[in-house]
Amino acid sequence: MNVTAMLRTFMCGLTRAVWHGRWGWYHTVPLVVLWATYVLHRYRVLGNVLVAALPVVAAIVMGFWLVLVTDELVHVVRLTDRLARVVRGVKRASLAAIGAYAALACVVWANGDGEGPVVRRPAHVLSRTNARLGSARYAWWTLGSSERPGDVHRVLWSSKDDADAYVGGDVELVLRRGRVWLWRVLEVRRDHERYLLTMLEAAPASRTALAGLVRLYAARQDFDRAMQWYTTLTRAYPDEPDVGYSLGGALVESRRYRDGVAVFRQVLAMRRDYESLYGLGYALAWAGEKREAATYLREATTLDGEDYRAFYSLGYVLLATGEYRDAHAAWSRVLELVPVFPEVQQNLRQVEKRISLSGTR
Amino acid sequence: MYAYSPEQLGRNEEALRLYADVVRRWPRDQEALCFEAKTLMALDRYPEGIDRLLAAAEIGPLSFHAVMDLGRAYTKTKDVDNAIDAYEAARHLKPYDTEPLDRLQYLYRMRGRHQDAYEAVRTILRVDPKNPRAQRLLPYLERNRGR
Repeated sequence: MNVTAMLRTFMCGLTRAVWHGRWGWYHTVPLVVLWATYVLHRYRVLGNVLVAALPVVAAIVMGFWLVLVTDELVHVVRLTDRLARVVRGVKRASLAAIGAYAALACVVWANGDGEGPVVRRPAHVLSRTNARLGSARYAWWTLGSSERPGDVHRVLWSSKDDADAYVGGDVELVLRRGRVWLWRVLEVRRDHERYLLTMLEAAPASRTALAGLVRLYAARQDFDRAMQWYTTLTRAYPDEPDVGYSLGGALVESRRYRDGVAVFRQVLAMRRDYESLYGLGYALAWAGEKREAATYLREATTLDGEDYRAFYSLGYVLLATGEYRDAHAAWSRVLELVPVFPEVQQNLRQVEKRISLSGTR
Repeated sequence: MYAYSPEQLGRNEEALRLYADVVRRWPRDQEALCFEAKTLMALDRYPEGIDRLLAAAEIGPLSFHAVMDLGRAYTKTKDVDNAIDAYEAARHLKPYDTEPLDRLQYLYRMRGRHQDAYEAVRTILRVDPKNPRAQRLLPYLERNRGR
């Protein structure tokens, strides 16, 4: 058998395989559409293209089988050449549209894998539209930008979106820039700040609203406003230690030690427990008041001997005040509670050296 | 649900009575169970709150907020391992939210899992590069991880 004959046999086999495999193709295409629709919802992006593309694809997919059956009929029923060409043209156009849809899904999928910073943008809900095209159902938000009036975004609705977002209400778009530079919409959530302020207008003494505002501004590191609302809260509700505890912690994390100490002192007056004592001791230690810090941290260790944090901080405070043996005891207790702790193991070695150098202290 | 208003106003005892009534009438209402749990926790009744949330979890998957509440309740009752499980579930629901990661790093440190805490803090900084707590913790965790 010469090469030409072999090639002819191969091509003939390939043509037959493609011809008989077309049924597989016909079944694969709807699966591709299902996958693409899942991806476009899961990794939805900010923009209008997708919302515009979905109804087109839904209509094509619904008519896809009809097109395929007609195309099959072309082979068995004698039709005019012109009609056969039209049917094949429609089939190719359908496949091209679905291919473009799948390509769009691939782009959105690649984009969605990005792990950059998350940003929030304020917006307001203009409408929520429910679309129903036969078996295809989906919904989208129409959102007006609060930063750039006139800008309108359409975003596919997702079950992850805040159930409390409503038409006419203010929302926050949680976004992340994707790998192909499209903004992926992670969540549409209620604008909590405006919600709490509205609640306060309706109920000026609302404990939830006051506490929520303190937490919200503390999380945003807008401490002046957080402190202002905290003062209002404690004036109305003198017994509110949890809010003060989280505010104090946020102040210390942001290196506003004196403010942190002031808040923790208030918290301690409300509730003398491990967390308050530890919080105050920790804040005092960072504010440079080591001896006072040691008093509170010691008290904390008597309330909860199983939490390593007070012992850990106490070790540093006692080291700074030159009480090496007590520092050694505190860090030894940390190691009993958390056996693998390289920093404390190293600290213990250093403090042992100092003990041996300084004699009896 | 009428109990939502007193709860939002901080009138927890009143809200709890109403939620208890709703749950008594519709014991399979997951939302009512979660609200009741939240109100119980606001009254420092954490073990009861856990019971309600576990009952809600038997009905269907819990929401992000409910899972976070469960993690908080376990943390308050010093059940660190279950708290870690709860916050890991919350992290799975919203991988871009820093709050479960922040709670996780704290719990990992409590268990001496410094490497896991380090990874959690690194993720926080990817999501929110200016996060002060994460910035502060990173050098500390670098000193203690992976040894």
